[in-house]
Amino acid sequence: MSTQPIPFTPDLAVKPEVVAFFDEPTNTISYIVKDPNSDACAVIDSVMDFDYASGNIAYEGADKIIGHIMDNGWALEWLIETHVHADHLSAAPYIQSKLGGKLGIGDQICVVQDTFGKIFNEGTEFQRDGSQFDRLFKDGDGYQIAL
Amino acid sequence: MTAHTLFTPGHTPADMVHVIGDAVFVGNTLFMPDGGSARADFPGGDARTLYQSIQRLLTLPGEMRLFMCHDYGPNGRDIQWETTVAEERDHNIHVGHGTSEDEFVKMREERDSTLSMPKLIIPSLQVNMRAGQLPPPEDDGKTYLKVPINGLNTSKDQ
Repeated sequence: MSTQPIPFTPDLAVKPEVVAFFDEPTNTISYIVKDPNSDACAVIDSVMDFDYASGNIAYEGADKIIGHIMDNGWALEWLIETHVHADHLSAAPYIQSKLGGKLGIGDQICVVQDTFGKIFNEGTEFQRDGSQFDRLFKDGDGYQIAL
Repeated sequence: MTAHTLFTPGHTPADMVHVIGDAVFVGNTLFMPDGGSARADFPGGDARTLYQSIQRLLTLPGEMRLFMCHDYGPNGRDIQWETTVAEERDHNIHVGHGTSEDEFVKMREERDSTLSMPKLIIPSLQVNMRAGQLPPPEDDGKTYLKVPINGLNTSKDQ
């Protein structure tokens, strides 16, 4: 098997501002990545606080990300999930409810939804077509983080 | 600015790396050079596919900034999350120095067989497969998560 070529030309002249947020309980790093030429930004792999022992959820970590975006007057264009994480719960819908933006993931999410739909014996109301997301990315797809 | 996606399956069947200017968000493919690579033993994961995805990622220009999704501070060092393509090519303990596909697969599968499941895998999957939404409430208006007993069978012959 040969390595697939990169289907686009990276533009190394564009140097986005990257702000990292470390979630200690799950060792996850979430990011804000900001367009150097406008106030547009994206959030990558956010984390919802979940205490398994109590079943309680919270949004302290997500609120820090929201606060940073609001304090700087940035506009959230995208919420990106790099994949269906198995070690933390996403806070993307919470952040989206506060700041807007479109939620995107890879189009092979449908395979993952099919696998885990079976494992968790989900009923027919659980759609396995990725329709819970606003955008399903294919390999090499481009999208704009700009105003 | 324009962002681009790179399909990088292996850890799961749906992993995407996002390339935004000179910054690359690697998701669960690589870790920091001293942390190696993501595991490939969850349902739908595959070590050989992960190797190919990592090789593809490492054909990006060497000076590009790489941002990790996870860091566990191996050997007691402080948490780090940023490196470069060149650093990973030269120093990654799992794929650096021209590690072959077969060597990687053997190492990855042996290592994965020793790892326990992540503490939050069962709640995480049920929420994240719904784009981060909780399951619909039951007839008492409350939301519940399930635990499948012996259901998260991660053996390769499933």
